[in-house]
Amino acid sequence: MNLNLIIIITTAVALVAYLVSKVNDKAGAAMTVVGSLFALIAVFLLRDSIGTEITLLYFNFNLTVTGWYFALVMLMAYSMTAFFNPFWMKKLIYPAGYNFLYLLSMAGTLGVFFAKDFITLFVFWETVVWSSAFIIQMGKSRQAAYVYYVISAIGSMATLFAIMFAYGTTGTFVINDAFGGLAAYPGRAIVIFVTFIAAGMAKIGIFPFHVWLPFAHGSAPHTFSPVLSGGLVKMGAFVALLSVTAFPAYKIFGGMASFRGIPLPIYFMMALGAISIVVGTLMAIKQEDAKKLLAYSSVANGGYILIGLLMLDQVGFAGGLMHIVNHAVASAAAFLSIAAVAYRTGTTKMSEMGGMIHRMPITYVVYLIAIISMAGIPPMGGFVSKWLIFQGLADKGLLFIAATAFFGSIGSFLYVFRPLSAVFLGQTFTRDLNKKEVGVFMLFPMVVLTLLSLLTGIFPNIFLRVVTEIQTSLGVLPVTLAENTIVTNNGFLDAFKVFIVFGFGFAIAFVLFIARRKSRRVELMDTYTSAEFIHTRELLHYSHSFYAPFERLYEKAPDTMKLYHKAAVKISEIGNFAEAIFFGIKPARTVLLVMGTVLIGIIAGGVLS
Amino acid sequence: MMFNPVLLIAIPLGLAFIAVIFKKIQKWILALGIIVNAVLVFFVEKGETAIGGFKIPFGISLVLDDFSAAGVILINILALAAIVIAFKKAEKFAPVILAGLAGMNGMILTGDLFNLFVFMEITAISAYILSSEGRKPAQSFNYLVIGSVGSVFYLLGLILLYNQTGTLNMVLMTEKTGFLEQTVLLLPVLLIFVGIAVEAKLLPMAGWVRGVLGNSNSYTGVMFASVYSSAALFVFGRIFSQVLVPGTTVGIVIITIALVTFAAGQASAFRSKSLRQVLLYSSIAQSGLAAALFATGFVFPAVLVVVNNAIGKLIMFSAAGSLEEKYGTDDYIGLGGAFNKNTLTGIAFTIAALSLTGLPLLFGFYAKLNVLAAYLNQGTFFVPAVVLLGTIVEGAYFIKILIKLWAPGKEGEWADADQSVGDKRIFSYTGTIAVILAAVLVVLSGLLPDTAGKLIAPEGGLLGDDGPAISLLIQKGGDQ
Amino acid sequence: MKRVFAGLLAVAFGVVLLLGISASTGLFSYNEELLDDSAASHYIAKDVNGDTGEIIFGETMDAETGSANMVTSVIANYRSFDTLGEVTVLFLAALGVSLLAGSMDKGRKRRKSGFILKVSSGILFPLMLVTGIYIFTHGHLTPGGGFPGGSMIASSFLLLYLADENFRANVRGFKIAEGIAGTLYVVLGIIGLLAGGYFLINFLPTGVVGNLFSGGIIPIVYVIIGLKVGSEITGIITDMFNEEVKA
Repeated sequence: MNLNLIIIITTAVALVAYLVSKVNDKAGAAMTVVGSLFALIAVFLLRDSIGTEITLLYFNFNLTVTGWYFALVMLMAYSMTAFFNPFWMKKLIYPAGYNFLYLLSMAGTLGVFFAKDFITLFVFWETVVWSSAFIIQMGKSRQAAYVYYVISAIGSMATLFAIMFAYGTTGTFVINDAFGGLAAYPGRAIVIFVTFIAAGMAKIGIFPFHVWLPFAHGSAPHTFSPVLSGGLVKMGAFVALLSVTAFPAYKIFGGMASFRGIPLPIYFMMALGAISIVVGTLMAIKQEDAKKLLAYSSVANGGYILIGLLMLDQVGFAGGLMHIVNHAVASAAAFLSIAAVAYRTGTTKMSEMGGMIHRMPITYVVYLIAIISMAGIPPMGGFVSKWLIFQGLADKGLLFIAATAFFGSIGSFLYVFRPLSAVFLGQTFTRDLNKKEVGVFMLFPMVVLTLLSLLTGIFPNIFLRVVTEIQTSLGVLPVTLAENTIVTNNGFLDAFKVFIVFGFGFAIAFVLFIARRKSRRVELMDTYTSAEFIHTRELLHYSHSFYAPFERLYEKAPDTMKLYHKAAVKISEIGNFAEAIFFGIKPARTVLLVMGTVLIGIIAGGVLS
Repeated sequence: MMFNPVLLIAIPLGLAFIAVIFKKIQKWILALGIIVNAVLVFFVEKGETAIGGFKIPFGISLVLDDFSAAGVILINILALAAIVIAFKKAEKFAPVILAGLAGMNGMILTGDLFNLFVFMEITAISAYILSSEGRKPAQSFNYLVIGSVGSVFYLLGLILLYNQTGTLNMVLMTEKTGFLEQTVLLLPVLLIFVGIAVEAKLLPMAGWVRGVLGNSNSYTGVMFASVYSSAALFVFGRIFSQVLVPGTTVGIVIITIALVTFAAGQASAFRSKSLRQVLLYSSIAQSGLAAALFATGFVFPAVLVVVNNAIGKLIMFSAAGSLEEKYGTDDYIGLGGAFNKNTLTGIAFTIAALSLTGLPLLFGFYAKLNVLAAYLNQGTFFVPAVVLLGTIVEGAYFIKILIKLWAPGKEGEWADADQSVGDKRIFSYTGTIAVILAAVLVVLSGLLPDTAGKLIAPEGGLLGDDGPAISLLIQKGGDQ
Repeated sequence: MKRVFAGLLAVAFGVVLLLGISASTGLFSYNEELLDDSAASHYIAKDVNGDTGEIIFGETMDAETGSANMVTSVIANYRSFDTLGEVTVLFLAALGVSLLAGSMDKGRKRRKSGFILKVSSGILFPLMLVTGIYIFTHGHLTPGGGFPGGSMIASSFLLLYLADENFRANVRGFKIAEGIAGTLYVVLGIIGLLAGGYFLINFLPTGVVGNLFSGGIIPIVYVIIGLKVGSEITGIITDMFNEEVKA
């Protein structure tokens, strides 16, 4: 079993899924489960082939441990989400197409992570982009797919420019060689660095490319949002990683101006990541729709990942890599639980839901653990990775970025709590009183992801050992691990002990809860109203405009989307102008234009010669 | 069995005359002519052929080298595809189409500049007549005027050149103009450029395109955008990459015009609401790009762009014309979900659109890579940046159309098949098959780009340029 | 204001054109070397395919084109292919008129013509017809040839139209004549291809320069062209005049 076979088999299963779906769409969806699980297991077993190379048609692959790590994260997101597919087939306009594109995009991501040369990287990257664009359009918003594609195209074209520029300078497409050869051209190197990383930034959703996330993640079919958020943005992280590792950024920019040891171009990117954290957090707090909220949180977390990766040091880099796993797992779990709720209630607007904890307790626990991890609270995995990133920032003394990172952490308490309270806690709506928990087929992936979250939190070293392998393979000093502890310059963390402490505290609280007298249940409408009558349950459920006072602070903030609108309008104006001048139907005018052109041509020719 | 290439011109021409005699069966004569040509084009002798038995620099010659072979194969096969898709529309214009086909074959094959003029006239007049099908006489008249002005300019430029060099043969002309100064050549080259630019859709001579192509049906749209357009661009390539290679001054003027055409075309396409308009502006943009490439001497990438555009527009224009006929509207917002029951056509259309944007795994990607590599190898950054910016815009408007045509539905609601405009079949069976075959060709040549490249340029380069700027077969552990 | 501007632009363009032409052609100087071996000199001397010595009217046998009229030898032999193209252009134009005239609004009632015209048309018509035929059959000897001859034939039919308001020519007949003539031209070329290896090669013996039966296929070509042009232009006239176009 080698990589070629995996990609070929996955593509074949995609085609088969398409054909099967034409007959029975649930069966086709089941094939996506099979296909993605197969890929997951097969790639996992490729562990021993790490370090080899392989070729398929004109694509060259290089099985690095970095690629293996990313691929596993991606495949985990795909395969767990696939379990949800059969239940959503009837909502989709093209169930067969969906299944096909689902698996095709997955095969594409494999190609990206194991690419040895730029052509391979780019081909598979673009395949993922258009196959996911065509899936997104099946969801709630056509504009979402459009915005997604356009911003992705801006990134991709910039990267293509970088690739071809590098090729023109060094004569090769092989990633390591082409980038390595740029050491001799520092001027070009800056341009190539900025344009190359653009695709990664667009994909992760870093400011100012972040506008597509709320559209796409928010409006995509519910079974694809977890993949988008948990998986596809990590592709961007991979490109960002390439741009500091394969592209010896620190070496090339070493001679340039730097801020506390970080060259300016890289610091600029980190600053953009920091801004993303702030923007993502603040926008998430404002949201009314659970999925859009989680999308903005992906923006914020993407910022963390980017900052971690770009530090390329012992600790922060490890934190960034680990956060990839943690965020993928947590985000996928959160999106899946919202999808489960949407399956039962038909909506994702938080103001229309409430008290689902009574009806869907397991989903509640899944969501709870996911958001604890996302907020960076121990004992979940998110804490470990954020801790590492903080350590790295503090080590380097990057005050501004550290400040935004802390702000993002605190802000995340605000926004992760909101869906929890709005959707799960509080009182149940009348129409939801008879909803049940989702079936075991849907519960399975959610539980798996939850257990993973716990695992990364309690025994993070399992994953960190792989991270150290990655660090060594990239020539970075690996983070120091000992037994169950992570040791840094500023202290150490024993995650298992932290978990014990938390468990202890939890146990005490639980005992107290059982021992005390039960509280009296009161119906929602049974409340003091100073002689007014109340009729609408909905208005009494505390889920709307949660943080209104805080939101008022930044109500007037500028909207990045407007920038894109303006650009589009400008292009349209140019088009209008061109059309008016050149494409009217007065032949006389055209003849005059022609004469004018020849005249100008002659004058120009005379001047230039 | 190798045939004389003049048959590619003589047979359709003869059949055109016969078609006028036997008006009742003219559609079968049309079919016969196009099929014969499409088959014959693979069995013609390469090299220079003299006409009339006179020694070549003084008589007329036809030149069949790799470049013109690519050209004639392309247009004859495309003409065949066009009538397979929309035979009914072509029937009443049988003699016109046959004469036009003869003219286009002649344009590409000829090695004589005045002969080129004559064939350009034949092609142009057949185009004017075809454009009258759209029932918009003002537009056709506009086209006629612009075309005539262009022809006159070309002739004037040619006369000036003949006056100085005494020859009309292309090869000899290349030699002799080498001895003339740039200032002397400036005016004739500009005039000839204007003449060819009309059909090649370069601004400002492209004013006719909106009216004519915007009112075309599924046959004439394909003919104009794929067949006529490719023929004109091949002629442009022949003249400006081989015969009258522009020096720096004229070259800058021509390349600027071409790039402005590219940018203006993309911008205009972006703002268009009508499907055919978007496609015609995209064609203008692609023509501009191809012209810029030819004028810089990058012949192989230019041919790739022309071929990619021709095949893509074949699929897209025929679909657009058919949609307009079936649903009465060209506004793609109002055509939501038209691909709902037309999956195969939709897939072909999607492949064509994505190939034009240059998405990987499709032929357009190979074309785009060659274009970028050609310039970046030379060290020019401005043009690649313009091309990539244009590609972003192109991707934007094509994706907007694709999304609309595949997934109808109000914003904020799931895509709903009930919201689609209708479920009429866009093409007949034969049409769908033709369109699918074209799409398959695009995909295959995208998956095996080096094979495709070898087919187009067996010697490695066209018209003496460097050939493929990159090879996608990168050996293990190394570069090309 | 726009017209003034347009006029100025046109004048400026004209001036530039003249300047350019004088620079291009060097109204006062040529590059003698380049023009040394020009095509035109070979056409005049009739030695494209090889040196044939001096051509003397009435005596030289089997000269290269055999036509005494230099213009004819260029049009109908050296550049016969171009002429085929030009004929096609006219063909297409006529076709366009007939396609469009069918969709334009129907013809008007024609005016009654004067007495003199009516009577004299009877005499003039055959005279014009014969003159036209003479001109294109003698194209290789005297100035004229297919195109002017054909136009004369067409104008003779125009005369008939003008003379008699009820006259209607048989469009179908002309279309068939046109088609046959065109096909014959192509067939002539193909015969040349089969017989001599080159399309449109002059495969008949060219005889003595100056005789009626000289020039090989040139007279045949001109007859074909004459008939074609005549029937095409007549067709155009007819389409314009007819109340209904029955094709």
